[in-house]
Amino acid sequence: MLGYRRFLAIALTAATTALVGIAIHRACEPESRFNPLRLVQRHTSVQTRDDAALLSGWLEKVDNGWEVGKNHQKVKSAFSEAITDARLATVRIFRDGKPVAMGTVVHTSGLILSKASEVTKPGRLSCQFSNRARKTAKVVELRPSHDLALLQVRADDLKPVQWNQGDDPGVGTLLATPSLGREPLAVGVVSLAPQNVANDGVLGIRLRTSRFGAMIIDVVPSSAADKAGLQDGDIVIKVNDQSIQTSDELVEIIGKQLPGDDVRLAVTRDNTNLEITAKLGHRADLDLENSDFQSFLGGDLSVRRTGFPTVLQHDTFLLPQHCGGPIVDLDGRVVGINIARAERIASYALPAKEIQPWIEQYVNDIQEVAQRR
Amino acid sequence: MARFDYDKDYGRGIPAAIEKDEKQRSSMQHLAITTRWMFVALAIFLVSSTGLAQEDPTTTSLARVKNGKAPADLEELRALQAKIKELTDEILTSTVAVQVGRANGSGVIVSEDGYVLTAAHVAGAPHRSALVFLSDGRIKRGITLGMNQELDAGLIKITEPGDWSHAELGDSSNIKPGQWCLATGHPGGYDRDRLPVLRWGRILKAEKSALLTDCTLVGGDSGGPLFDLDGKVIGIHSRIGKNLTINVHVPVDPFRDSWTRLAKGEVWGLLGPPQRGWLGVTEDSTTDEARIARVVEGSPADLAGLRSGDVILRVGENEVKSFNDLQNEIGRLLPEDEIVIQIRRDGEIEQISVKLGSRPRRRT
Repeated sequence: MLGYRRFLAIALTAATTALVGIAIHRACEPESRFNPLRLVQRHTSVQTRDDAALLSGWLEKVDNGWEVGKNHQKVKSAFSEAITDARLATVRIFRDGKPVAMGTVVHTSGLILSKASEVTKPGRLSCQFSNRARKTAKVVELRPSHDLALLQVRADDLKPVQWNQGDDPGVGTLLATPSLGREPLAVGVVSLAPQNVANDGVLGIRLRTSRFGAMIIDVVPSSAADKAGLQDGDIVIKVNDQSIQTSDELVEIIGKQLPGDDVRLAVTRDNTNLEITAKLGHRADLDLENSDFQSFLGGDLSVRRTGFPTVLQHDTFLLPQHCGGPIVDLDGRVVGINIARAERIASYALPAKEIQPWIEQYVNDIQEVAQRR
Repeated sequence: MARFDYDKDYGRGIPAAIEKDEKQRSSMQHLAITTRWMFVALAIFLVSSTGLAQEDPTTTSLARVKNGKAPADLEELRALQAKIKELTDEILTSTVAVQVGRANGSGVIVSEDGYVLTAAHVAGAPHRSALVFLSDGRIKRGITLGMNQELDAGLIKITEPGDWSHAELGDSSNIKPGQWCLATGHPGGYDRDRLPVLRWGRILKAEKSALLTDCTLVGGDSGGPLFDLDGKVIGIHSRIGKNLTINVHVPVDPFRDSWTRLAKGEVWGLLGPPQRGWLGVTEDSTTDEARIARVVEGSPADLAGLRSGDVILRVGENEVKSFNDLQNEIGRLLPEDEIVIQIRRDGEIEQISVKLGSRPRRRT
C-alpha cells in the first residue's frame, strides 16, 4: 500500500523534475560560485508582450546564421592571420569515425595533447591534420588533475605549437579557436582572470521537499547515492547528525562537502529508520548528459567541466568536441588549450604555463629511458 | 557517396538565403570598402592640411568597426581589442550585484548619488530594502524604486552616503544591428572572490522595447549592463532563450524617458507570458482557404456572429489566404484589440467587427 502511495507521490512530482534537475546542479556547485536555481528559472520564464515579435522566425537560427553575429564568417576571416601557425598544429580527433575532440601537436615526434575524458573512452582513435591526412593514434599518458591526455601518432616531422611564454592574456583579450581550415571555429573574449575551478562533491540524487521531508525522487545510476544503497522514495531526516526538513537544507550541507568525504544520512524507508553512509563522488562522474538543466543553459556542455587547478574563462561558443585544441590571441600566441565547454556563458582554457612543463617532463623522461636502453 | 565534412557540417543550419545575401552584398562591400578608403584618404588629407599631421591608425581602424562593421583584418581587430581593454576596468567597476529578499541579480550604477539600473524581475517590488555588492567587495544598503514591468526595467537607489563610480547612460535609439557591445554581470549569482564576468558580442536586432545580442547571459546576469564601445550603458540584461544567440536586454532609453516615474517608485505594465489575441474558431481542413469548421461557444468569434462555413478573407488591412495566415494575423494582435474581419458568407462579402479575447486555460 505504501509502495503505491510512494509511486503516486513520484508520479505527481514528475512535472517538477526539470527544476529539481537544476537543484542537483546547484547542489553540485560550491555555494559561493553558483547559487540559485531560482535565477535560471526567473531568467528564462520572464517574457514580455513584445518577445513574440522580437523573436519571431529567429529562434531557429543557429549561431552562424546571424549575418551580424560575432561568429559570422566575415568576422572569423579577420582572425585568419592570427591562426596561420596554430592551425597547422591543430588536429581533429575521431573515435570510431566520430569527431570527439580537437588536439594540439606538442612535439615533432608525433605527440598530441587533448582532453582526456573525451579520448579515453573505448574505440579506435585517429587524428586528422590540417592537410587532411589522417593517422591512427593511441593514448600514452594521462594527467587526470587537468583532464589531459597525450596521444602518440606515427610521425617524426610534425610542427608543434609555440606556447605563449609571456603573461596570461588579460580580461578583454580577443581569442580565436583554430580549426583545421583557414578560419577559426569560433571567436571570443577573455571573461575573467585565471581562476581555480574547484571540484565538488555530489551524491547523485534528485530531491523534492514532500510533506514528510526531503524526499529522494531519483537516484543517478552508479552515483555515490546508488553505491550507498539510497533508493527512490527515501526520506532524508538527518545529515551528519543534523536534522533537516527540506531538500534545500540537504543541498546546502552536501554543497559544502568535498568529493571523497563520507556523509552519514538517516533516512526513513517504509516506516523504518536506516543509517546510511555515502562517500561523495565527483560531479564529473555523474552522467548528466540527458538532464534537463542543460537545455536551460543552451547547448551541450563537456561532461568533465570542473576540477581544474587553473583555467582561463572565455566566452567562445564551443561544443564539447571542440575542446582539446589550441586557443590563440591576436598575435597568434598559443595562450593555452580549450579544456571544457563549461556553461552557457563560458568555455575554459588551460593556460600554457599549466601544460608546457608537464609535456617537457614527459619528453625528457622518454628520452632518458631511450638513452638508457 | 557523401562524405562527412566536419568543417562544412559545423556551419550546418545556415539559412541558404543568408549565404546568398552575402554573395549579393559583395559588390556592396566593395563599394563600402572603396568609400571607406576615400574617407580615410580624405581624413588624412584634412588632418595633414590643418597642420595636425598626427595619424592615429588605431582611431582610424576603430571608426569602421564602431559603426557595426565586421573587422576587416587584424589591424582592425587590434583596434577593437585596445578599445575593449581600455573600457574593461571602468565598466567592471560600475557593475554591481544586487540582492532583494531572496532574489539576486546584477545592476549598474549610473549616477554619482547611487542610482542603480536593474531588471524589474530582480527588484521585484518598490520600496523594499536591497543590498548592493560593489565590485571592490563593499556591500551597501539600498532601496528598490519604480519598475516598468512591461519592459522589465527596474531602479534601485543606494541609500548610504557616498560618491559612487558610475557609468554614463548611452542612447539606445540609434543602435544598429552589427554594433559591437560588451556585457558584464554576475552569472550564477554573486561570488565575492570573483569580479563581474565580461562578455563580448554584437547587436543582432534592435527594437524600441528590447535589444537582442550574442553576448551570452545566464541566471544572475539579470539587471546587469550592456555597454557600447564608448563605455556607455545601452541596455539592461533581462532574459534568454535556449539558443546561445537569444540574449535579450531592455534598451536604456525607456529608463531615461520615464526616470521621474521610476525614481518616485511607480510601478506599471504587466509582466507575464506573451499574450496573444484569440478568436475561437477551428480549421476546416478540407479546403486551402481560411474556412471556419466550428466556432467555439462563447468565444470572441461567437460573440461577433461568425459562423461555421464562413471564409475569412482579411484581418484588418491584411489579406488572409489560408487558415495559417489567419492564425498568424490573430496571433500578432493582443487580447482586447478590436479588428474588422472581412468574410465571405454564402457568396457575399461581409465585414464583421471582433473584439479579441485570450485563449481560455485548458483544464489538465
